[in-house]
Amino acid sequence: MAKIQKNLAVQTVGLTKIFRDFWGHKKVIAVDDLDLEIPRRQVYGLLGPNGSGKSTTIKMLLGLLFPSRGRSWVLGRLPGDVKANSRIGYLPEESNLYPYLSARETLDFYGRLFGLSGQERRRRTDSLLEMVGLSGVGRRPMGEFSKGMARRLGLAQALINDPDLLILDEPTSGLDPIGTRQIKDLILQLGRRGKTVLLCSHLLADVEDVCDRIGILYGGKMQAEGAVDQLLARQEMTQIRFGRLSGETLEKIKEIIRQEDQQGSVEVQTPRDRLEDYFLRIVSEARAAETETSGAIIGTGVSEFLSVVDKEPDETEAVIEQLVLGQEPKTSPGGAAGAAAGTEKVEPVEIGPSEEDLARRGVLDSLVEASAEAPPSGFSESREAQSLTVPVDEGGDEPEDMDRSLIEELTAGRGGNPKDQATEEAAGTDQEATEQEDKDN
Amino acid sequence: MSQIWALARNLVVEVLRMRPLMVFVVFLYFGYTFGFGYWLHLGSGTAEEKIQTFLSYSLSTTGHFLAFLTIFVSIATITRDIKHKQLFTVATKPVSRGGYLGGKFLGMGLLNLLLLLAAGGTIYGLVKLGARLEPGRDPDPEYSRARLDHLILVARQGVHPSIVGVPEEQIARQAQQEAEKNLEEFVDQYYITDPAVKASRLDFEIDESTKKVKLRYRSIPPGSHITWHFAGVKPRRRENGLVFIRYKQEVTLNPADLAVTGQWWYGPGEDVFYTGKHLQTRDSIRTPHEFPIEAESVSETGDLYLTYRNPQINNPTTVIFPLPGKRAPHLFEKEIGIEALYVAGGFTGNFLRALLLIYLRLLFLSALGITLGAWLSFPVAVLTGLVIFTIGLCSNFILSSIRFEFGAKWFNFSNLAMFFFPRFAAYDPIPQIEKGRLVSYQVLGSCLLILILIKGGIVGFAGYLIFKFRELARVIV
Repeated sequence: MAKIQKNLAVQTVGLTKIFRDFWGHKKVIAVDDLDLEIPRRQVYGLLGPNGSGKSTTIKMLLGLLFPSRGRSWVLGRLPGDVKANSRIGYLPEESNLYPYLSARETLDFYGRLFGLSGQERRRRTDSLLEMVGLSGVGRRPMGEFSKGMARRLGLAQALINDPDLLILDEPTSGLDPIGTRQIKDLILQLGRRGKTVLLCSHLLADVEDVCDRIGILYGGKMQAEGAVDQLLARQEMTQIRFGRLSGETLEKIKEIIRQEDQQGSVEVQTPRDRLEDYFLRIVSEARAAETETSGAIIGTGVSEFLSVVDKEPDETEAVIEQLVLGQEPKTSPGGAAGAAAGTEKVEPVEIGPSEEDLARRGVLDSLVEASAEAPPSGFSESREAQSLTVPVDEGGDEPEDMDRSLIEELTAGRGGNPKDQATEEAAGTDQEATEQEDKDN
Repeated sequence: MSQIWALARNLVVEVLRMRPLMVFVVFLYFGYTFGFGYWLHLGSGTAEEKIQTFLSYSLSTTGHFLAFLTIFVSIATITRDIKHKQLFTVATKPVSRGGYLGGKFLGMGLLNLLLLLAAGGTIYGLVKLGARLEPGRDPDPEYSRARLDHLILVARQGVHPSIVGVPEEQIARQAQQEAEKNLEEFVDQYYITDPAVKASRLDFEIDESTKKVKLRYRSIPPGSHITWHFAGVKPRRRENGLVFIRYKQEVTLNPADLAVTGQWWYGPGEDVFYTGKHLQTRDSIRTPHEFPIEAESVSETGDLYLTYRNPQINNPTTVIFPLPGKRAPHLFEKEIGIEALYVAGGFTGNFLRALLLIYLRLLFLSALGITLGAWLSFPVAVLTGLVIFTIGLCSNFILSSIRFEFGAKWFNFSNLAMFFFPRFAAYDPIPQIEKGRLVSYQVLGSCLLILILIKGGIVGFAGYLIFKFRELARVIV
C-alpha cells in the first residue's frame, strides 16, 4: 500500500492508463506503471515525444481521466479533489477558453470559480492582464484573439488563484519568441518563489531552460529522470566566460592551461547571440520607439499577488526582472540599469578576492583589471564576451599546482557548472544575475 | 455556491451572446407575438374570440419555442464544453461535478425565467391592450367587454356535479352486472377459456359499462328531468357575483335546426325544481354553451342544485349531457359535460400561474437536456430529448390510442411505463387560461412534486451519476 508523502506535490504509484476499444479490448497503453515523485517547490519537466503519455499523465493527475491501475495524489489529495483544485493552476495543451467572453470577463469568471471577492478579482485581473501583456485588449472577446494571445490569457487564468502547483501542458505552444521567453522567465520566477511547477513539453529547449528536474517519457514509461544539471553536465569540459580580453591576456591564459595540461586543447571563441535573443532585442527597440501594435505587448514581471512560499522575494528578483524585461530595477545593483530586454546577459564577473588570494593569483591579476574595466552591463556588449573552453581530464590526475578554483571563481561558481553553484548558494545579486544569464544561454 | 452562480451566469451570457440565436429570438419569436397580435387585431371575430385565440397561440408558441430552446441549449452547453475542452479549465477548478451540472441547471433556470418573463410580459400587455381596444369594434361594446371580463380575463374554477338520487355505488353495481353479462356473451361467442383473458376483458367491460350507465342517467328523454348537485362552489364574491353553468348537449335524433330547448331551475336546496329560479335556453347541439346565474343562488356551504327539464313540446329527441373528459388531451377538445364555473381569482394571478406551469416544464426539460448532454453527443442527445418531449406532450393521446387499439392490459402497462416520461399534457395551462379557467395551486403543487421533484429529480440524479463517473478528456495518444 502506497503511502502519501506530504513533502511531494505530485506522487504517482504504478499509474497506468489503458485505452480500450468499444468491446473492451486493449487498444493503447498510454501510461505504463508510472512512478513519479515531484517534491514541492520544484520545477519539474515532463518530456517526451508526441504520444508518449505526457498529457494523459497530466489529465489523470487532474482527474480528467481515470487511471486503469495505480494511484496518484496531488498536493496530498486524490485527483479532482475540490480542495486540491483550489491550489492548482492548470494551463491545458490548447487554451480552450470561452470565445464569447472578453479577456477581462474570462479572468473574472475563473476568479469567481475560486470564490474570490469582487475586489480581489478586479485586482488580480488587472495585474495578470498587465503581466501577460493583454491589458490593452482586455475588453476584446477571446474569440478574436490570436493563438498566442489566447495562450497568454490561458496562462493568466492558470495563475488567478495564486496556485501552489502550476501544471503547464505545452505552455509555449503557439507563442511568439517574446511570449515564449516571458513564460520561461515567469516559470523561473515562480519556481524561485517556491511554487511547484509541472511542465509538460516536447520542446527540449524550454524544459532545459527552466526545469530543476526532468523526466523523459516514452511509450508511457519513464525512461530517464534526474536533475537537469546532472543529466546535462559534461564533466570532461570546463568553460570560462568573460568580457572582452586582449590577445595578450588570452595567450597568457592559454599558456597557463598548456602548462597544466600538455595534451589538452584550448578553444577561444567570441560568443554570438541566439536568434531568440536577437529577436527580443529588436522588438524591445521597436517597443522603446513606441511603435503601435494591436497584438499583445510585452508583459511586466510577475503579478504582485502571486505569493512567495517559504521565502520573501529579495532584491535578486528585482534584478532578474530587470535583466529579463528591461525594466528599471527597483534596486540598482552593480549598475545594471539600462540593459536591453532579452539580450544575452554576460555580466562582467565581479570578484571580491582577499589580498591573499590576489597575491596567489599572480598572472591573473591582469584579468581582474580587465574585468574592472569592462562596461557595467553586458547586454549590448555581449558580442564582446569571449568563451574559453578547456577539456578536462576525467582521470582525475590534474596537476596539483593548477589553481582551478580561481578560474572557476571567474565563472562565478565554485564547481565547474555555474548553474549548480548559483542554485546552491544564490548569495548575492550578481551571482543570481549570473545564474539567470546562464539559464538564458 | 459562488462557483455555481458563476457557471449559471456564464451560461446566460453565452446564450445572450449567441448572435444567430438572439436574432432568432427577437425576430421570430417577438415578431411572431407582435405580428400575430396585430393580425388578430385586423382579423374578423368578436373581441372575446380574438383575445382567446391570441392567448392560446401566443402562449403555445412561447411554451413550445422555449421548450425547444431549452432542449438545444441545455444539451449544447455541456457537449460544447466537452467538445471544445473548455471543461478542462473549469473541471480543474474547485468545482465539483455536481456543482458544474448545478450551475448549468441554474443558468438554464435563469435564462428561461428571463425569456419567459419577457414573453409573458409582452403577451400580458397585448392582451390587456386588446381587451381595452377590441370590444370597441364589436356591435355592442359593453356586452363584449362584459363577456371578456367574465369569461376570459378571469380565473374560474369548474365543479362537476353528481346526479341527485343516483349514488355512485348504484352506478358501480349496475355497471358490474352489465359487464359480467357482456363478458359471458363474449366468452361464449369466442370460446374464451384463458382466465387471464377473461379477467382483462372484465376490466374492459366494467369500464365501458360504467360509461354506458352514467350516460344512461345523463340522458333526458322528452318530458323528463334530471337534478344535479354541485358541491364546493365557492365564488370569490357572493353579492353581485356570477356563477356560470357550462354545458354541451348531444341528441339521439337531430332536430331540424340542430338546436334544442332546455328549461332550468337553480337554487341552494335539493327541491330546486319547485323552489328555484327558472330560465329557458335554446342552444345549438354539440357546442359548449354557458349561462350565468347569481352567485347568491349558491348556499353558504357551497352547494348548488340545478334541474334540467327536456320540454316534450319543443324537443322531439332525447338530450344527453356527455361525460366529462378525465384529462385534457393536448390535441383534442376536452369533453366538458356539465359544470358550474365560479370566479376564484383574477386574470393576472391566473396568468402568472400559467407561466409558472410553463416554467416548471422548462425546468424539467433543462434537467433532461443537461443529463442527456452529460452522457450523449449533441445530435443523439437532441434527438432523444425531442422524442421524450413529444411523448410527454402527447402522453394522453398515446395512452388513449393504446387503450383503444390494444385494450386495458396494454393500457395499464403503458400507463405504468409512462411514469418514466413527463406528462406535460396533464400540466398544460393553455386550455385553462384561454377559457378563463383557474390554474389552481393544486395543479401547480402536483406539477412541482411529480414533474420536478420526483421525475426531474430522478433524471437529474441520473445525470449526476453519469457525469461523475465519466472521463471528461478524450482519448488522445
